[in-house]
Amino acid sequence: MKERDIEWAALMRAARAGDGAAYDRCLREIAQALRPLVRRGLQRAGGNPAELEDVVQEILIAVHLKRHTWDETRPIAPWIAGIARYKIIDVLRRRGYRTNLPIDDFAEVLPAESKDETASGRDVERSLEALPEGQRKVVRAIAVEGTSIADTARKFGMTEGAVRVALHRGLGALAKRHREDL
Amino acid sequence: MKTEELIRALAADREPSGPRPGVFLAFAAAAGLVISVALFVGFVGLRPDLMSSASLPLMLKPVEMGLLVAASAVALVRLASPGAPLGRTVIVAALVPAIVLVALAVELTVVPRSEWLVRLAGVHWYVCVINMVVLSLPMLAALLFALRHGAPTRPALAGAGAGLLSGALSASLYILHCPDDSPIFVSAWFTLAIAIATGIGAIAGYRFLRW
Repeated sequence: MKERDIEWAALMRAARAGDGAAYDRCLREIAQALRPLVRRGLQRAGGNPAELEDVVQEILIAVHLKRHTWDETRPIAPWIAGIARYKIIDVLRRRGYRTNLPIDDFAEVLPAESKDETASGRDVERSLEALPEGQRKVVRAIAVEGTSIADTARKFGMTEGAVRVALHRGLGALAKRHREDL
Repeated sequence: MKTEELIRALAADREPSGPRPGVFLAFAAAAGLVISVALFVGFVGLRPDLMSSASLPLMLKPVEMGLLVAASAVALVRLASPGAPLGRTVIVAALVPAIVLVALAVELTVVPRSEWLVRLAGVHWYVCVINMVVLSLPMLAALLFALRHGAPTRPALAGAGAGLLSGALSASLYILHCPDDSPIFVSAWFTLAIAIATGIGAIAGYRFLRW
């Protein structure tokens, strides 16, 4: 448990220093660890297990958008677990389920039964359709087609700065959309 | 969207996500305090005998409010981030009502019963309460704004923390005006004013701090 915390913290620090590959790996490992946690939370409340991946994605977006609230002098696992617990309860409440349930910390959950990494949530078009055209095409190019920022800029005749801003705003809008209709 | 795709997009987003919650909260508190001080100077003013009187009960007020400001400030920064335990801030904050109660007990034994109600009423207790609540509002609004950029996992509690801090800051400011030093007065009306600010904060937090 402790080792995992140290590893995640190191990855997140590297990510803060601008290491995109470390951040990518950090988020993948967090997603992997979140699945059993979220599954248990949904099960206990009688939620729909099919929503698992949607909830994991919502937590990942929250981790990303709120990453400045992690204090590097504190362990990172309780920080992630705190976000996960908040988001799981939030989803359940919006669905009208009972929410006075204990949600586990990572410490209480068995190591991730590794599920296929490619599990998908809502389909792409549904998640992206609410975004304004400019943000939608940028998010789709980078997320789905795996285009780099520079190539995306070239493709749409935008500056790299404009691509970055569109991506950032698009992700914020995606989080908002999750919140409103998940 | 596949989770893998989402992660790719998140990793590509290098726009900074925001300032540290403690830093943002400190700026917000300072900005709110400037407005509260301006209102205080413009509409309330200092008590005339501020420099000349130095009784023990007068000295007690800044000690109590200072402790409360410190404890609630630390607690609020922790409430702004997920997974940060409140720890000893609760104990330090709880010291304040303890001191207030001890001072009240001493006052009640020293002062004759016939004086109690006079001291409770003070010069104008209701003006004190109203002023303290009003002076807390600019700081409360600023702190709630800053909290929205944090990630409070207990929105009502975080809002209450913001209310407690702004109430304690407002009361600290109001000490400079309030002519009533009796622990009877302080234990009733300072407590009421800070409780109202805390309650407003809790309700506002519940309504506005979801993310």
